[in-house]
Order: sequence, then C-alpha cells, then structure tokens
Amino acid sequence: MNRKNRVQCSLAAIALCAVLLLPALAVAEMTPTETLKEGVDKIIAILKDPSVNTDDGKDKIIQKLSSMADDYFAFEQLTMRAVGRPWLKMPAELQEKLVASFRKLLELTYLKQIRQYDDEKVVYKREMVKGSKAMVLTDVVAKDKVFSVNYKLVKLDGRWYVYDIIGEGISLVKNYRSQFNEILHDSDTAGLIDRINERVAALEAAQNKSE
Amino acid sequence: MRLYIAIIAFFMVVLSAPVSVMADAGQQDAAIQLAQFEDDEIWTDSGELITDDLNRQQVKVSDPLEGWNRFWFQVNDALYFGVFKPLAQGYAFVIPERPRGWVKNFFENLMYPVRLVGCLLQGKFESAGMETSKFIINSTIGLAGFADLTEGRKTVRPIPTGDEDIGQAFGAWGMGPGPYLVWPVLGPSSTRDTVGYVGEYFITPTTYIHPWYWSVATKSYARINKLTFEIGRYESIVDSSVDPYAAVRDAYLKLRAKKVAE
Repeated sequence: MNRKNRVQCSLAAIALCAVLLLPALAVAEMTPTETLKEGVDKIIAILKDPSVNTDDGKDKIIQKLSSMADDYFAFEQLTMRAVGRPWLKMPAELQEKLVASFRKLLELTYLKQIRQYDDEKVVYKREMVKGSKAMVLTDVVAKDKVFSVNYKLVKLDGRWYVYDIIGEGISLVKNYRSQFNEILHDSDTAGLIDRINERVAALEAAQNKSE
Repeated sequence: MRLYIAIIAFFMVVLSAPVSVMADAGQQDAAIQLAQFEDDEIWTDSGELITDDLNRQQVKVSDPLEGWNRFWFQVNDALYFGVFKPLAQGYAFVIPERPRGWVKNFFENLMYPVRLVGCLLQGKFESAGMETSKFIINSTIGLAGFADLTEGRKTVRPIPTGDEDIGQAFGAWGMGPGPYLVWPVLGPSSTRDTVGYVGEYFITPTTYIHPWYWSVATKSYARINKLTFEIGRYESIVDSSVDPYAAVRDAYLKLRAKKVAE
C-alpha cells in the first residue's frame, strides 16, 4: 500500500465511522427545540383529528394526550419547583402523592384548554442551553393576536423535558408556587394534597355534569 | 491495518466523549439543584440571562392588606358569577357579535388619550404617533371608531404597540408595583396602578358625561360589552387553581410586569 492509498483508506474509515455514529448521536442528542417541536406537532396532529369533536372522541383524546405527557413533561421536577424549598422537608411518600395529585389537576385543566385549539401557529424564536438546562422562546400566532409562550426544559437521562411553561410572562410553576406557599403556610403537605384533590373532584364533577 | 483501527478507535472516543461528559455534568447538576432548586434559575421568565442577584425576579409579593384583599376578591368573585357574567351572557345572546365588536372598537378608540399620555410619559414617540394616526383614521373614515380600519395592518417598519397606560409609565420610570390591592368591582390592582387609575379617570372622555350617573352607566355598559369577548378567561384561572386569590394575584402582577418591560 502506498502512502496515497493509505490516506484515502483512512479517510474512508473516518467517513464510515462518522456515518455510523451520526444517527446514534442524533437520537441521543435531540435539541430542546426539536424535542418541544416533536411534542407540539404530535399534540396538534391529535387535535386536528376530526374525531376530537365527537362526544366519544373526547375521552380518547384526553387519554392519548395524557399518556403522551410523560414523554415531554418532567412532572416531578415541575411539582418540586412549584413547591419550592418546603419540598426538601417532605417525606418521599407524600412527595409522590403530591406529584400524582398535581399531575391530575394539570391534566384536567390544561388538556381541556388545549382542546380549544383553533389552528394557531407556533413560531420557535430562540433556544438557550446551559448544562442540563434549556429555555425555548416561542410565539403562538392566533388569528388576531400573538402570545408569547416560553418553555423551560431540563435534561434527564439524555432527553429534554419541559418543567415550566411561561405564557405571557406568567410562569405556571411560579403561579402555583404562590398558591402552594399560602396553603403550606396555614396547613401542611397533607392539607395541600387534600386541597388539590378537592379541586380535581370539583373539576371531574363539573365535567360529568356537562357531558 | 493497525493504523486504521487506531484511527477508528480514536474517533469513536472523540465523538462519544462529549456525550458522556455532558451526561456526567447533568447528573452532577441535578444533585446540586435538588439542594437549591429555587435559586438554580439561569434565565428569567422572559429569557434574559440572570447574571446576579439583582437581576433575579422578585419572587415574594408585597401583600400587607391580604385580609381586605381577600374579602373583596370573594365579593368580586360572587359579583362576577352572580351578576356580571349572566348579564354579559344575556346581552351577548341578544346582540350579535359584530355590533358588539363595533361598540368595543368605539370605546377602545375613545380611550386614545390614556394610551397617548401613557406613550408620551415613557418617551415612546413613535408609538404615540401611531396611536394618533390610528385615532384620526378610525374616528373619521372609521365612523367615529366603530370600525377599526387599522386592525391587522402591517406598518412599514415595526413600531411597538401603543397599548400603554399611566401605571405602566410609572413602572417604566422605575417605580415598583407596591402593595397589591383589590378594589371592589374594579378588581386587582396595585398601589402604583391605582395612582395610574386616578390619573386615567381624568383623561377618560366618558368621565365627562353629565350627569354623573350617565357617565357611570356608559362606563358599565362599555365594560359589560367588553366582557362578552372575555368570558372564560377568569374561569380558566379559577378552575386550574387551588387558591384562586393567590393565582389571580400572581397573574395580575406578572402581566403588569411584562407590560412595563415592553
């Protein structure tokens, strides 16, 4: 083998190497925006399904969206941040219960709201990444208005998950933190879980009534 | 041959290294975050990098009059569900959406002095000019403001909207919102925005209708008409919250802070 051949061969080896490694990297390293876009596109696809508006389709959609939520939301991180410092003093068992109740509340209220989707477009404006944290700034363009919706994401096991949504400057996590703080100030973790469950029950009752 | 294997091995190591290093860093971060996750924010909610403690958004709200505020919040809540919402729904049932839109445009056009003063106090002369030309066009060709001819039209170059008021101007001057306040019927406010309201009262044309009860009636009518376009907004906050009072307070203060920043 002469020198030229050797160089060509090694270049080919490098190229092969790169080609083989690329897909693996791409899967492992989806950027925050890509992850978010995948989730948003999936939700829109589900919502655009004509069966959404039938009475029968309603429950199915909610189930579909709910099972999808775990791929894109870090509910534990979200709950932890919504509680703030008192989280550190909560027993693990109650933390788990709180995450479950809070998730149920978020599902009931927010899944109901996104079903009012009316062909809004999402414009991805900017992405910022630092270590295991990221923030994606987007605009939701409705018929006559533009809303700013920003997402905060955290990387867990090589995948990005949303842990806060900031709509028009109102952070979901911080809004709940101000509520949770009030309740935890007057009561305790069990009391907070009770309050959340009460609200969930009220929402479920209202839902059954309207159907 | 050995050379190629060496090269391949080298590249594999080089290419995979950043991934594993990043994963390690992530795990480490997570451990630290767990201990101090309240202060681990890198960006503000609007996406600016937090460089020091001064830059950090104020988490604690000032609400020394919580007893008074909570009382009026309850009253307003009952008024909304018991009086204003049914009234708006009944009115919307009788009057179709288009005429209600005209009425909304008319009163919005009439509030031009408030927006103009809000813009001027902040030195936003371009927005002030924009508001002025909008006012002139809508008041004349737009038939006294019933039609909004400028809606959805693009400007030659981007000019920020003139949706300003006096409270926002005070905020732009560096004044904080001060203690949160809930007023009967009027709803959530802050000390700063209350002072703004008072100023706005005097530059709102409908204030000068005589006698005073016609002025009040006109303002109430404008409010109910506007409400028909906003039904469901308040409900969605209340529905999703475990402490509606705290949820509304946070939402009000954050929205105002965002408007001041714009």
